Amino acid sequence: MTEEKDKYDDIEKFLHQPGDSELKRKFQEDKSFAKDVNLYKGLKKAITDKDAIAMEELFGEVENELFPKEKKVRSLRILWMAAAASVVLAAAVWSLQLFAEPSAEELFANHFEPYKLGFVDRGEDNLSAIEEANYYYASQDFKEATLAFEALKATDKTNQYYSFYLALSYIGNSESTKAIPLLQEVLQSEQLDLHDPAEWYIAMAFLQQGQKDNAKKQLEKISKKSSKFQQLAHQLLDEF
Amino acid sequence: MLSEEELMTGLRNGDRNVVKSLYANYFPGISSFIQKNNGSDEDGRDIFQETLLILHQKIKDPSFKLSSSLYTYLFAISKNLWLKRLEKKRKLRVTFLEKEELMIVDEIEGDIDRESQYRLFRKKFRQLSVGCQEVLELFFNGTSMKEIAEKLNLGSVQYVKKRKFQCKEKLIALVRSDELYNELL
Repeated sequence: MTEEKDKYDDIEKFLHQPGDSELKRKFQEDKSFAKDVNLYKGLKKAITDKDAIAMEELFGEVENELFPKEKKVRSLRILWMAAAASVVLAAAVWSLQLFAEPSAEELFANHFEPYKLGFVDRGEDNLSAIEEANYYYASQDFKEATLAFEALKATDKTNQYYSFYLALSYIGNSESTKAIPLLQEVLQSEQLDLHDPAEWYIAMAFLQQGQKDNAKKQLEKISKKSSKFQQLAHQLLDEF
Repeated sequence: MLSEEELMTGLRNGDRNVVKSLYANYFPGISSFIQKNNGSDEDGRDIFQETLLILHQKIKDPSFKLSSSLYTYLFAISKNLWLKRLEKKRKLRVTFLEKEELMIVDEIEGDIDRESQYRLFRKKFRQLSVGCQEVLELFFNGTSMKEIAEKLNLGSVQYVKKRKFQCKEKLIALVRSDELYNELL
């Protein structure tokens, strides 16, 4: 990463100070650097060409006005995902019957489901950062969701919803070590509606890390409290 | 009915009604050609937009003069763009450029490739999250890290730097993974 970062710094320096003899020589001798400089220059030109951007928008608008496209139905994708999820679930149940003692990872795979979020369809207009993050999360694109929620959290560190969904995005991205401290932060907060789900997902994070004992302790705690996760915790403990 | 001169002047100025006329007059024929040659409706739209964009860039130059009818000019560019894509997809070429079309394309081959590349870059840019687009747009327009942090409410300059790096990485990866980019190099 440091090497990449230095490379961008050199490219920017080369573009801003074309007289720099060392970089000039590098540009002439290092084909890979020259290629990167040209790509970078092209990207900058393309992104900042307001005229071309405005024309592209105009062409798109006129095209849609005169020759409208049939609207694609996103719900088909959701149905497909639901069908795929059912197949995975059925396969999971079948495998559980075959193996008496599933591993922590298997338990995680069988029981982890991202916490529900209102689905936000992605229209043509620019969306707010929150809608953007929600969109990636709902699409289960956890890599992008992580970046989006990290950005949101940076704008408001006290917002426990950002922490919660960032933690879940980390889990979805198999980075549960980063998720646990965030979920514990949620538990310490006054955002009471998130306490029960945060406890449940701490158990899920332990399972993802292969820490079956810690997950069990956490689930036992959940099973003693009245919440919508109580029953789920009992069911999961039965499988240990 | 607008003359070709009026159409080009209107396009240069971004006149919506002129763009509508261009679409109404030329899009159906070009789209039909693409669909008859292994393309889809979507391909037709994409190629026509790219063609108009190339023409728009060309006519900014006051010395530019059409060497053929406007339809032939647009058709030659569209056909060339589409044949290149067919080659890339290793699909059957069922047609070739006619002599007049070849002359038009030869003259502006470099412009076509450059505009195609810029358009690809913008397409990939729009695939980034809105947050990334905002950071990169401000950065490439020369806004300082401090101002970006303030404008986008991103907290610290350090965070903006990190985000800028991540977004650049993502954008460059998106571009490099596109076959068209390697084709245009």
